[in-house]
Amino acid sequence: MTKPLNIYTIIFCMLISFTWICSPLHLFAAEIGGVEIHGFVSQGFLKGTKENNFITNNSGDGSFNYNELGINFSGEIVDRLRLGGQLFLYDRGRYGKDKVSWNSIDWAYADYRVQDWLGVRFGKIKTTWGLYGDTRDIDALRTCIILPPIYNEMLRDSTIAMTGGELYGTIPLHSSGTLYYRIQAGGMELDTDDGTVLRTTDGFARRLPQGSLMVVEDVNADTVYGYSLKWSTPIDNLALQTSLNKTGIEGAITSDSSIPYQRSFSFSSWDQTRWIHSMEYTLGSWVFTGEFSTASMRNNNPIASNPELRGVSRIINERVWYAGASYRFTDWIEAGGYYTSKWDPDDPDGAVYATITGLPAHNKYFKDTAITLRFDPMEWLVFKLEGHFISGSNFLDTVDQFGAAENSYLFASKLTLSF
Amino acid sequence: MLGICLSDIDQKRSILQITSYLREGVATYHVSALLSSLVWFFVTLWTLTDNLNAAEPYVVIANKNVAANSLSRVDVKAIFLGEKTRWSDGKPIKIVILKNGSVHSDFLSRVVDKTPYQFQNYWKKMMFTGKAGMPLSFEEVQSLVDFVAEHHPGAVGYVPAEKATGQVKIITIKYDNFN
Repeated sequence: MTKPLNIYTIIFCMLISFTWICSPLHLFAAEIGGVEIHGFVSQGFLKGTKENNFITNNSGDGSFNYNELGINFSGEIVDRLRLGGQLFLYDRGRYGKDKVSWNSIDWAYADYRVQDWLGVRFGKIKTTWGLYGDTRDIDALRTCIILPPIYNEMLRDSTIAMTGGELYGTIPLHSSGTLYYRIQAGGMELDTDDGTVLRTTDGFARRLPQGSLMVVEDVNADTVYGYSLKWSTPIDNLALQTSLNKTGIEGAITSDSSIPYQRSFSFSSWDQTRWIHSMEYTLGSWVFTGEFSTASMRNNNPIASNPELRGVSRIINERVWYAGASYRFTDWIEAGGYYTSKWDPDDPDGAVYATITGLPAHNKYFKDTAITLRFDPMEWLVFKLEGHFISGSNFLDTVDQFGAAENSYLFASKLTLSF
Repeated sequence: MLGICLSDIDQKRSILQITSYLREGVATYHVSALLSSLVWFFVTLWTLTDNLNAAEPYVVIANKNVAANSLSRVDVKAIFLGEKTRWSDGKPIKIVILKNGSVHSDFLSRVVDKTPYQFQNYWKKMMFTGKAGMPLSFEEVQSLVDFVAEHHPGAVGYVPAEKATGQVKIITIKYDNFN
């Protein structure tokens, strides 16, 4: 059943009306005492193949359960020192749910720029994650609605930001271009009812007796570090970037399972390492992008039925790439698209997975061709229409993968107001 | 004809000498041609560079307290992308821009390598990630000139060439061979 219009849709409509009234007065953004205030509201609609629910509730029937709200404050307090923060609420099916928590703080940090080649940030800072990691929450800043699976919205809480510190800077290389670097370290606080933990417990739930209840007693990601290095090459508008993120997650779970080793167990040493290699080239109104990601996750297999494997680390690998382009025809219309592929290099077609589990092989891979039209009728208003033609079900939520169709389509539309 | 009058060895020596002379001649010709081309190239480039500055419809202006009289195109681009935030004396740079118009488009295209939409999107990314505030923008050229002249000692902007009054300093953009 499609969820009725929620509070954010109502707020969104009110803001649309307000800005429509104010637009002749150019009341965009706000500045109070040197502090800039900006924000955005997005409301989306997804409808796709009935069997394949795409990170909302019942996208098969059509769902408005796909929205975002953000507001940020920032300003230069004294020379070289900026302070700022952004609050972000979102709703995507069982993720986000517009809940206010520590993770609703999208970023909040102090930024001291010692020199152009050296700056320091500390607080809650965005992780080093490819071309779109910093801006993935803001629909108005990109062409497409749904980003490729390198930017997995179901794992947003453990991939988007950390609490810690970062060194950064810009180093001109004269005739060899410019180098931009970021080096960061810190930790993350994970909600027990958000994406990363939910998907973790989904995996355990499949191994427990049906109907078992699980309680996540503790979860933390105390060790997160990464870096990014971007080279703006001597070839005008060609930039190459590589980024690394390494996150260690651990926690403890109790259950009412009748099996002794399942009653209390810890998932430790869940080291996730992701490299993303990126390219961006701009030629007039054309923008070409491509990224290739290699990721590995090591986990300690705590409730393996085979006692010889229980507690023994195993590694799960992932590869994702995409290539995309966009073209801006006029001030108000842009078209774009991408092709992406995600697979397990140890089992590219899912045949091994299917043999072992008896589940469909297409649960192990995901291929998607996306086409987007973007309209900017006004500076503060963006409307997008997008179509996806998909093979594989790996990018669906784990609870939705079983019974999913191998080939599917997804239609998405989104309206964003920003100021 | 030469072959009829000389012995075999002499013939070979002669042929080698002639060949050597020809090679030298060709080499000399090529070197001369190359040198001439290089001279012509650099003279033309120097002329074009001068003419490029003269042909631009915009000029970069700065507050009179700014020490720089000229900047490379790479430096001007870095300034307007927020990558270079200090003048050489350590004072902060304050960039101001035009909201729209052909001068705005031309400057962004030729100096910053971005269309107006790409430039605006770039600064929105900076703003929505907390890295910088949006540059101050002006509808009216005179308002921009007045701000640069009076409101910030490190202010820099760009205006139509004919609008750069004595209130402000004009900064020459130096283009090298590759930009």
